[in-house]
Amino acid sequence: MRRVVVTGAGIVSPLGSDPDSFFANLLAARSGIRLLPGEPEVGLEPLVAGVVDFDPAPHFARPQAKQLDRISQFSLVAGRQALQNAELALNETGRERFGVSWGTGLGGIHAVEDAYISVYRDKTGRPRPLTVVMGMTNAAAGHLSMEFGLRGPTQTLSNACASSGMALGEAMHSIRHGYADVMLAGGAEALLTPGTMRAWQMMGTLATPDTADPARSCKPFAADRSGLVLAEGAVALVLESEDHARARGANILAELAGYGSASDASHLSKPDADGQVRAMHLALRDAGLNPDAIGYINAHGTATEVGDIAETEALRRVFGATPPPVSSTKALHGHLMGAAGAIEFLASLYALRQGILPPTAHLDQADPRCDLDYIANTPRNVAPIEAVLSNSFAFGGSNAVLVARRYR
Amino acid sequence: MDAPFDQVGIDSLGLVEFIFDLEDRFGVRIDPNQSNDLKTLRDLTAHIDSLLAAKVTAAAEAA
Repeated sequence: MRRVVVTGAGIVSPLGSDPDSFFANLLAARSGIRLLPGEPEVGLEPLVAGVVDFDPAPHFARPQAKQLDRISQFSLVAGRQALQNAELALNETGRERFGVSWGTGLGGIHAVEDAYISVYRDKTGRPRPLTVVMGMTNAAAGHLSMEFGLRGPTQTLSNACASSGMALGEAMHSIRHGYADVMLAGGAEALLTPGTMRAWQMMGTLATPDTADPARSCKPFAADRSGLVLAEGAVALVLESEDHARARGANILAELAGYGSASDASHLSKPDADGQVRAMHLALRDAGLNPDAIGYINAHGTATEVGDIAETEALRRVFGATPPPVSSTKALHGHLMGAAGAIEFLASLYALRQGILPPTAHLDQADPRCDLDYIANTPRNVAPIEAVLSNSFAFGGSNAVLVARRYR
Repeated sequence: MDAPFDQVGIDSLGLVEFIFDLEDRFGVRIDPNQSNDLKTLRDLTAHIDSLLAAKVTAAAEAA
């Protein structure tokens, strides 16, 4: 079976738009979350969110930008960065064996919502003709494939918050089993539309804006947590077979060594430690590692009460009495939904390479039911670690777990 | 002006979107059946001119 390595990364996020500054911001515990005023005329109350300050102009000619939903714009910018970072020359032949594996929850929801506004509110009867191809869930993957001429398999995985974790894991499978040599893999989300945000508010799981400092509103594992914070962005990674990477002399960042995918089969929105445990066990077994080889865990850690408690229990069940240090970086970048798995895998990759663990910010007092070492508030230097694990657990009951290992 | 749309990088869906914008810009509606006959920018501008002229005439007759 072929080994799969990571050779490049790109990011568009509320916390930096290149991988190095993203990780530096995590270590500095800078928050990418801010207060939005809401829109009283449509019932949208003020809320906190991880918004990307994004100007398409430097990246796309105007006619092109107009034809790309925000999610596709994010995806293309992250994809370009990742391929540049991997120094992968695309003028070479062989792109029949280069593919795309992309995760997203809602796809081009800006385009879809604009169309509904036009039809239902403005009664124009004239949604834009490009609505269909801008809004479809696989639009971003299609654009990535076209822009870079990647003619191998293209797949879109839409499993809510586990989407991009699964996109990376399934890309690994595609390479391992010989269906592709290179996969541009990761995910994107751009769902901060009034309709979507209002629907989330109605669900009652969003964080209340922190009155003293809205940037500190997301508090995973903390006694004073109040819920999750929506965010947007994209993260792309270049995955390659070890042979392909070595043959071209690529700089190998790490090995993507294990992937576990398991379902709760119990409830649509309530997390279940049992499914999480099985997914972690599968990922560890897939990587051929014992739990004690893991030196850092990037938790799903959304800062909802049920989620934090279930994950803490699951980690105890897998890692025993002394689990490795765990953090939820969502405190700083928010919940990128379909891109969450990829952005958190990227954070884990940096922790592995640099031996510095990003903190769980805004954790002054832990919930007594959450009793792990959460790397509260400040980053931690550690002795070189062998492997890291990143959790993504989704509405719908899908759990995706990735394990990255030092490449040697 | 006389180059066919498909030779200047505007495919059929691109043309549909372009016509959609022009309809809004000039306040006219182009019959989808007729849009198949509009192969070049000259065809399209001439057609919109005729629609605008018809509109002006109709407005004058109504007044």
